[in-house]
Order: sequence, then C-alpha cells, then structure tokens
Amino acid sequence: MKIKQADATDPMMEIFIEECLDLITQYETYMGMAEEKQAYDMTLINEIFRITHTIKADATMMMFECITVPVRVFEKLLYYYRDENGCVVNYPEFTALLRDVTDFVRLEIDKILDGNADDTDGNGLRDKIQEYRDELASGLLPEVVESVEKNAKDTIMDEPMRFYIGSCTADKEPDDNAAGENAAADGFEAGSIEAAQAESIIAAAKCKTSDSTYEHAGDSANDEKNVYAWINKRNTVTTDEIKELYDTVCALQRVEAKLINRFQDRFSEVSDIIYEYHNYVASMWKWVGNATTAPVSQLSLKLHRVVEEMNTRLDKNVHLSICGEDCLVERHWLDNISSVLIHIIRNSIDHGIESKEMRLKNGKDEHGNISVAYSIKNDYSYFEAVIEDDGRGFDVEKIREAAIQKKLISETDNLKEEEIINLVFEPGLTTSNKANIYSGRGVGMDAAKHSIEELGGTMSIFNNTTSGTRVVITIPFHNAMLHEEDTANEDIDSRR
Amino acid sequence: MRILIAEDDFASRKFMMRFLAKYAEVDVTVDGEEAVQAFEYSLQDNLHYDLVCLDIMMPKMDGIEALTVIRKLEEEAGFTKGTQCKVIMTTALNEVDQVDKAFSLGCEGYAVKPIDVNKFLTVMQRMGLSVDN
Repeated sequence: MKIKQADATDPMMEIFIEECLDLITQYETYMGMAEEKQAYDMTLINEIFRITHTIKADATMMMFECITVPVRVFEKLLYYYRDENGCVVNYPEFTALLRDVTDFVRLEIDKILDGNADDTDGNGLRDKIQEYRDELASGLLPEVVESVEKNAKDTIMDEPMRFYIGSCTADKEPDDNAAGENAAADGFEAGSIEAAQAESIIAAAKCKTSDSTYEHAGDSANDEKNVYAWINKRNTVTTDEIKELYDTVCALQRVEAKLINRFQDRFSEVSDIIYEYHNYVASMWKWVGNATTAPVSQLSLKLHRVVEEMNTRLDKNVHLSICGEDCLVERHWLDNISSVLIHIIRNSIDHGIESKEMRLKNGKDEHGNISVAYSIKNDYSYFEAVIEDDGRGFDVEKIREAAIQKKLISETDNLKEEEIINLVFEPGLTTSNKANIYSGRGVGMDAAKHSIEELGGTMSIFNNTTSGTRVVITIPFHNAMLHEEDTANEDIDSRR
Repeated sequence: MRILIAEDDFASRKFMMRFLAKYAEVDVTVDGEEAVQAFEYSLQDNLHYDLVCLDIMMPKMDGIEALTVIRKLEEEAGFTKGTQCKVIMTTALNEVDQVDKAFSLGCEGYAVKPIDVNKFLTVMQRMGLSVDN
C-alpha cells in the first residue's frame, strides 16, 4: 500500500519524524564510539538494541511498514549478540549493516514527507539483514539458534498494541462551503450530513483512487469523454468555459450529496457505485481546481482564529493585520499557503513576540503585531506573501551554535547573517530548549518550506532592520491564462 | 464479531456504522454514558464486544472516561489483558498529549477523523479482528 503524503501539520507525525531522526543520530554516535576500539562491546550492543526497539515501536504505531519491516528484522539479529551465546560482533560487517539501516531510515523519512513512500520499500534491506542473520546462525549450534529465536519471540509478545491512524485528508477537497450552501438552497437538508459524511466518503474514495482514474473515465459514458477531452485542451480554454465547468462540477457534487441522502438506509447496496461516482467527480474537481483561482481572503478567518487561540493559551495579545486579500491565487495553492502561514504565525506568537513586560521594557507597545501582506508581482508572474512580526527576531548566534552542534556548518564557515537565519529550515534544528505543543520541534519550518517548494515557490526568512522577523513566500504563476482573469473571476466570486 | 460505536455526531455515526456493518454486528450509542451502559449489558448477556470505537468529545461522558470505565468493567468481570476487547478512539483531536493519554489508559488504536478507512481495516486485521469480506 502506498503511503500518502504525510500531513505536515499532524503533531504525531512531527514527533515521530523528530524522534526517529534523533534515534538515528544516536546510532551514529555509537558507531563513532565503536570506531575508536574497532569493536562493539555489550554496552554498545545494548544501547543499539534499545534504539532499534524504539524505532520499531514508533514505526509500528504510525503504521510505516516500510520502516517497521527492516528494523524488526534488525532487532532480531541483535538478539544474537545480546544473549552472549558466543556471538562476537564482526566489526566491519556489523558497521556496514548499521550504516545501511541509518541511511535507509533517513531516506525513507524523506520519502514519507514527500508522499513517495511505499510499504514495500524496506523489503530489500530486510532481505539483506535476514541473509546476514542466516549466515551467522549457520555457524552456531542449532540449540543456540533455537533459544535465541525463542527468546526474541517471547519478548515481542509482551508489547501493548498501539496504532495511530492519521486522518485521511483528501488533498483537493471540494469547497465545503460552496457545495453546502448551494445544496441548502436546493432544499437539501443538513450541512452536517453532507460535510462529515462526504468527507468520510471522499476519504474512502481517495484511498481507493489511483492516479489513473483519468484513464478509466475515458472508458465511460460519452458525456464524460467529451468533458475530459475538453479539459485536456485546457490551455486553450477560455475562462468562461472554465466557469461553466466549475459550476457543473459543483452541481455534480450536489447530486452526489442527494444520492447519499436518498440511499442512506440502503447505503451498502449502492456504496460502491457512489464511490465510483465520487472518484470521477473528485478527479474532475482536481482539474477544475487546477484551472481556477481563488482569493487569499479565504484564509483570513482561519488565520485570525489561530491568533485568537494562541493569544488565549499563551496569555499574549497579538494583533494580526492582513492586506492584499483580494489577490487571486491558484485554488490548489490555498491548502499549502494556509498551513504554512499558520505555522509561521504560531512560531511568531510562541517564540517571536515577547511577553507584555518584556515589550514594555524594550519600549515596544504592549501587544505584539503580525502583518501579512499579499501581492501579485510583475504582471502576474508571481504571488508574494510577506509575514512580519515586531517581536524579538532571530538570535543569529544561537542559530549558529545550534547549527554547529548539529554539524550543519563548521566553526570556521563564514556565513552572512541571512544565510545563518535561513538555516532554520534545516530539519531538526531547533534552538528552543523545550519543544512545546505549538512549535520548537524544529520540524515545522522545513516542512513548511517544502510545502511551498512543492508549488514551485520559495520561502526565505530575514531579521527585520527594526525588530522582529520577516518571512517572504513567493510562488510563480504557471498559467498564461490568468492575465485576463480579473473580471471573469469576479463572477465566480459572487457565486460562492 | 461484535462492535460497539460511541459517537455523538450523526453523520460520523452513520458512516462508521455502515462501513463496519460489512464485517460485524454493530451497536451504536450516542454518548459515553450510553456506551458504558451498552457495554455492561453485553457483559451481562455474555456477548462481549470484540471492538469498541469511542469518540472522545461526547456529552455526558467523554471517550476517555468511557474507556477507563470499560476497562474497569472488564477487569471486574475477569477479562485478562489478552481477552479484553480492542478499543480504537475515533476523534478529530490529534494533540500528542491526548494521544498519549488515551494509549496509557488502555486503548489499542487512535484514529483521527476523517477516518482513513483502509488503514482502519489494516489495523483491525493487525488486532486480530477478521475483516476478510
């Protein structure tokens, strides 16, 4: 089963990645210690065992078979060395194997974050370790092998079962608001049925959907064939036709909602058809979503809510001001921009904006200020979002030190202030001493940057000349069509 | 297989019920109190649930409380660790402290809404519940 795009905002995911990387670093530390003596003594083996066991438990809980599979087998191998059954660790061979494991886990985590991981990724490494274990076992007495294997099995049975099932967020969700409101206008009852139910069904359908639904659609009814052929030429399609398409797709979603409602008592009889129907509609929505724009004002409410929440929980009083909300961006950018802005704002309120007392002491006003400014640059060649706060700014020295500690740079490297500040994008680099629920884990920033780079954009951080920090996000527009869209999109706006 | 669902939101409740009805007899309750009640009846009738899905945010008694009570009831009825029912929390909350708390109180699974149906089924299999339809 393919592992879907890791939700960068899922706190359990953040913790898992951070812990995993930390554990891998520990492996490396122990490898360093073994190098001095060119041997692994019992203490090191036990430590390596402990790390392996933890990685296995964590990956099992998060259901990452790609990591669980090889690590589980590695743990079993370690039982041979632990039980002092005369198994001496062959230094170069074991080191090579351990290095394979660390390299693999690092790569796999990147894959997970990119949404490219597959359950079977670890099978090759598993086989390699298994082979090594078999070779090792062949040189031992059968009773010894039996006893080690039995011992390994017994302890594994004692562990409490823990599975974390992350939410299944469809990446191109239909706009709940539009579909919901329109449905209500049609006399269709209860936004609650539609939203939650649709979400779950969409989630289920998404999980069943492969990326080739487009091909399947070509085999179905003529109408759909025409629509797909039409979409295929979208570079030459005018904005009016796209509007038509957008409305039609919304209508199809309303039909889906009606179907669900009509058949709710016999749902199992028609569920597979509804899933199939939904697949096609979701696929069309994906195309439509890619071809239409939306104003970034859609994000404002969420951003204000985040600020409110943070203010309450951290007893701060930060004001958020947003300008340029009318900027139109490609619709499918919204999720990425939203989660990144939320992360930046959280960071800002958590770490950037000082307490009331500190601020007054420094001659700033009591409340903190965050401003978000959106703009379209160079005649629709790119979109820019600038987020500034008037907090304490980045402590460049601290970042430098932390980076040196994490071996990202060396003492002698001569970097400009700008370059040092942008190091906060390196995964695992956090200068915060205690990671709290909101930030300080050192994982969010690199995921955020990644999220923007996914759209072809860039993200950079600066210290403001006066005080505080400034984050600049730019995303290029691909579509030449957008130049004429201002008037056309006003109409789409009024229909939402 | 017998499954108990506790969920205060109508749509989520309906969805879980339909999706799980393919594999088991499903009983549905709307809050923690009802869930505990249903669980008690099941023990009395000797029709132990194999799986309990608990929402966390519920009126009258939340999922965490219900979990604690259910585990207590099982202990008193003589069910040892190996024979106790499996519990999966189904909730929109994914804060780490919440997740840790739930696991430490004795649930085996924690699923964040919207539920990833495929993963949910995989977890059920791994828990030893048969979903071979």
